Amino acid sequence: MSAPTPPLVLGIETSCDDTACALVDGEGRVLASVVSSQLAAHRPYGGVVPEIASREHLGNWPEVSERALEQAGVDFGAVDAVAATRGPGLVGSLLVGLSLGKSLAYGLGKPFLAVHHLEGHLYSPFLDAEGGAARTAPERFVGLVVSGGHTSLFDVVGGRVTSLAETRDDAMGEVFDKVGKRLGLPYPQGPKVDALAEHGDAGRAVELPVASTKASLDFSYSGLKTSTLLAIEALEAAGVDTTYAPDRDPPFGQEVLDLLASFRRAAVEQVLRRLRRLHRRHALPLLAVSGGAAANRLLRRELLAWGSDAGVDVRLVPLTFSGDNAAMIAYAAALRLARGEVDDPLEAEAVSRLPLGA
Amino acid sequence: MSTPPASSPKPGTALLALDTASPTVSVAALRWGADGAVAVVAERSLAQRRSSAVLLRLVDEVLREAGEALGDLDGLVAVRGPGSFTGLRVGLATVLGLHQATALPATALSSFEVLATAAGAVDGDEVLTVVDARRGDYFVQRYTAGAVPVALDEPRRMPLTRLPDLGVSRVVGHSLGALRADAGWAPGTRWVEAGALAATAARLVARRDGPWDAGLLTRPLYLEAPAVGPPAR
Repeated sequence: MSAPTPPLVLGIETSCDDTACALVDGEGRVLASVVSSQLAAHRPYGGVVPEIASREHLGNWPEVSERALEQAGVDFGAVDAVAATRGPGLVGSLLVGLSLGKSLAYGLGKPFLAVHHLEGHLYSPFLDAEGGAARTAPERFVGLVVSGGHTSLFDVVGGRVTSLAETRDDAMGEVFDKVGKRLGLPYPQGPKVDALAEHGDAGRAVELPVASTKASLDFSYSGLKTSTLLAIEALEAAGVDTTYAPDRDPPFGQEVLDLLASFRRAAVEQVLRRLRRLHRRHALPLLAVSGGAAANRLLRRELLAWGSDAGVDVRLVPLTFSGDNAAMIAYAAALRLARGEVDDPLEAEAVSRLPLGA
Repeated sequence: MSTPPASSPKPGTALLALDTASPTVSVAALRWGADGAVAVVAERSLAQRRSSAVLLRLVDEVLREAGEALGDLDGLVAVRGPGSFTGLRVGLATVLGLHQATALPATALSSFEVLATAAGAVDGDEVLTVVDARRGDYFVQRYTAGAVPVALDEPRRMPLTRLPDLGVSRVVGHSLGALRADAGWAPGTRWVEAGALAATAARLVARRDGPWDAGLLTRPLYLEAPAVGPPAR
C-alpha cells in the first residue's frame, strides 16, 4: 500500500452498541476500520441495553483503537485530525467516544470534528471496500439512510444537507427486528428475517399494506408492523406452528417464510414508492443508499432494478460499511476538513436527539 | 492489604488529576517544588450535572493557569469511582484519550482511597469512607489514616442504619447530612465533608510515586450491575 495521503483522520463511532475506530486518508481510502460488536453482551436481553453498551465501549476502546492503528501501520503521532460521532444515539454511549475523541485531539494538538451519525452514513456509499480512494460524491445527490434507528431521505448539495423525509414512527430496520423478535429469533433479528424471507413466496401469503403518507414523502412502518404481528397471530390461530426451531433448516414452516417474504416486500415497496414519487417531482441524479438495513437483499435488488429502469445512478453502500462503523465518520470528517470546517474540542457536546438538515 | 511506601514527591513532579466520580467534579494541576512541597496548584470544580460537556475546558483552563504544557507533565490521574456511571466514564475516557495522545503515565484511584487521604485524621486513626449509593445505601470502605491511607477491608454496600455499628469515629464523604441525621452514631463522631478531590488524588499519587496502571482507566468501580429491565415484549 502506498503511503497515506494527508490528512489522516482517526474516526470514532460509539453511538449505539458497536465500538468502532477507523483511519481514513485524504483520498478517502479506508486504511483501517475496526468494529467491535457487542452482540454477545446484549443478546440475553433481546436488544441493546444502554448501560451495558456504555460500559462495553470504554472497555473495548484500547483494543479497538490499537488494532486500527496497527492495521493502518501508523501510530497516534501520525494522525492529522480526530473525529467522533456526537449524535444522535444513546447519550451514555456517545459520551464515551466523544470524550475520547475530544481528549485525543486536544492531547495531540490536532483538529477535532464532531460528526453527525447520519452524515457519516450519507457519504458511506462512496467508500471503497477494498481500500481504494473514495469516489467523489457529485455536487448534488439524494441520500437514503435505512437502519434500525433511521429511515430518512436527504438532499445533499455541495455538502449542505436538507431533510426530505423521515419515518413518522418506527424505522424500517426496527420493524424487521420486532417481527423477528415476535417469532423468537435471537438478536439482531433484522438480518435473519431478511435471510429467511429469501425462502418465502410473498404471493402465497396474505398481502400486507404499504403505508401511504399522502402527499408527504415521509415513511411510516408501525402499521406494517401491526399488520404483520396480527398475521402471525392469525397463522397461530389457524394451527400453524410458528415456533422458531434453530436446529431445523429453515427454522420455520413454509407459511411463516411466506409471511416474512410478504412483510419484506411491503417494507421495501414503501421505499420504492417514495423514490418514484420523488423522482417524478425532481429527477434524481444519483441515489446513495446507506445504513444497516441497506444490507437487505430485496431492497438492494429492487433499488438497482429501479435505478436501471428510471435512469438513476444508484450507489449502494458496500456491505462492510452498511452497519455502524467509524470509517464513515472519519470520511465525513475528512470532507468537512477539506471545506475548512473544524469543531472546538472544548465545546463539543453529545446530543441524543439531533435532526440532520431539518 | 500491604502498605505502599510513603515518600515525599520527587522535586519538580507535575501531575494533572480529574475527579468526575464525586458530586463535585474537579480538575487540578499540581507541581511540587525542590523542597517536596506543592509549589503550583490550579484547580477548578463544579457540580456533577453538565460537567461532561465542559470537562476538557476545565483541563485546558487548569493547565493554562498552572502554566503547564500537557506534554511536560509527569502523569495523569483519574478517579474511578464509585459514582455517577456516566461521570466515571467521561472522566476515565478523557484521561485515556490524553494518555493515548501523549503516552504520559496514567492511573486511576478509587474514590475511597482519595476520601481517606482527605479525611484529615491523625495517622493511625480509623476512618470510614462513604459514597452515596442511593435508596438509603452507602458504599463504604474502612482505612487507617496516614499520608498514604491503608485499606482495612474491601468496599461494600451497606444500608445507612447499619453504618454506626462499624464503630468508626471519623466519617468522610460528600453531602453527609442524611448520614448524620441517623440516631445511631456514637457521640463525638467526626464528620468530614470532602469537597473537591482532584488535588488530593494528585497528592496521593505523588506521595506514592504511582503506581502507574493505565489499565485502570477502563475499569470504573461501578460496584453495581447495570440496570436492565426484563426483555421488552
